[in-house]
Amino acid sequence: MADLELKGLTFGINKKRIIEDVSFKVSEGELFVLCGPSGVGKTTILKLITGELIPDSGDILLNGISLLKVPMRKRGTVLVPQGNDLFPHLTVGKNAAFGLGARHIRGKEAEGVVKTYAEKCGIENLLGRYPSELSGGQQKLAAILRALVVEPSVLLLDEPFTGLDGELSRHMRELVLKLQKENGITIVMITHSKEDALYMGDHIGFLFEGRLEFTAPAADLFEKTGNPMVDGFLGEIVRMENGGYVFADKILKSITAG
Amino acid sequence: MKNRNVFGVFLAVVFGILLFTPLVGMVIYSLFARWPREAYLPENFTLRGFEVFFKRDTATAVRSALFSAGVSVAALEIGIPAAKGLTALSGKLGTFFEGLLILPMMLPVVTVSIGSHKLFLALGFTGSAAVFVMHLYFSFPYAFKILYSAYRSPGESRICTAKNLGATDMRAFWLIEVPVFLPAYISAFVMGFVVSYSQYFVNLYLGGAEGVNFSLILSQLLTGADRNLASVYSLMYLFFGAVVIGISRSFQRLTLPKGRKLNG
Repeated sequence: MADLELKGLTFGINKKRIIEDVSFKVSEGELFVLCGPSGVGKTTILKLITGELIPDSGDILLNGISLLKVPMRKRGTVLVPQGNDLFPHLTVGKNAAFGLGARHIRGKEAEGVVKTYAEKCGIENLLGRYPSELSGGQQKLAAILRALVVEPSVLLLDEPFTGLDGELSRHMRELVLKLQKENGITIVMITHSKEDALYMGDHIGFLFEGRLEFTAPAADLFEKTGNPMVDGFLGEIVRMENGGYVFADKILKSITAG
Repeated sequence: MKNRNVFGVFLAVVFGILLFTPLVGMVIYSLFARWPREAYLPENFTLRGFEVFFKRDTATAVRSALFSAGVSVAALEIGIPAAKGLTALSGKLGTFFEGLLILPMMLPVVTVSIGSHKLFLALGFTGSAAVFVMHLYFSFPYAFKILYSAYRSPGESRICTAKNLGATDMRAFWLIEVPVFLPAYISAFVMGFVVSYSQYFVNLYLGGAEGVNFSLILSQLLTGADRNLASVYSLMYLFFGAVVIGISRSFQRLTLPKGRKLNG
């Protein structure tokens, strides 16, 4: 668990700027959501944090120490990719133990750690199965398990609920929140879903065309922010009497759909 | 849906017959000395062709198969880093280099062989080594094309995931990259092998006495009048090729999860 800070991060390919001067800070145990439409560079930021991509300028600090010179495998910032990237030739249990093996934790000790986290994720009965034998939701859980097992300093979630149906998506959201609270994990999650962002995030950053336009605590976003791009993206949020909220455009869609 | 299945089975049967019939002919010709035009059945059962093959050319057949397997392994060794490297290049530069690497597919074997022969002679580079380089030249693009397609697939991101989980380059390569890409390696190996194994002009032109391979012997027999011998050699050519391909496929089985069958 750790503080993560991005300072003036800039990245481009073939002279085209993809990320421009992005700065934000995530405190220990906080869930920071990076939100924005598709194709604005959200995944690129996660890849810069993991070390898969190298920024053109700026810095990434973990507990105040720059990660730029630290190789990917030693950063402790573990990503759960959107496509899960489970290793198809290994069972869920062996997938989960892979990161432990890299840390020289093997055999019974590794099995014990995997089992503990598998119980937390509710998939202890799937440890002997291969990824191809799992549903989409189970694969996502297996990928989260694999990342949690190595107890990362920062857990990075790339669109974790995309492709999951409503009920499963809700279940997964609750599970991630529960795991985060129980283990005090620092999480950076990216999503294009404003519902997921507002429901889960402690702090939310809005990324548009590679620039971080606005950052605020989730609680402050129920009122107009004054930023036309953010307000346009969030739309009208209607407060309910029971303390809940709905997005006006979603209601409109339901009404139109009859 | 049902109609489509019936049509599929019909096509499979037709193609099966078309591919299988020449084999039946070859088997018959390999076991009989003659089959006169007016006779219903072949005449004079003989194992002469097999005797000749086993007495005279078994060593050449084995050597040819091993030589081509060696060429194909070399094509893999060059092709894997080339394919991985090329995935990092995007846009026109990537397309340009891909085109450059697969160019030998489109160049005529005769032209390249004659040109290379002149150059190799001037450099004093002859014999099996020269033949090896030329086989590699023609096999590489086929192997590379398969590897490049594989490395452009999402499988590549699993290597990054492995490193992100703490694996060293070596651990990520042996435990993730090799098993994930093994089917592509095997396909690339088989493709490279088939191209090299069927080369005869390169051996004829560049090889000299050292360069006699199975294809060269077979090409001479096929233009001759001895159908018995030509059929036996064709079957043996098929057999040795199938053995190498079979062995390479068995490597793939080693990495399959328990109880799984190999597709295709």
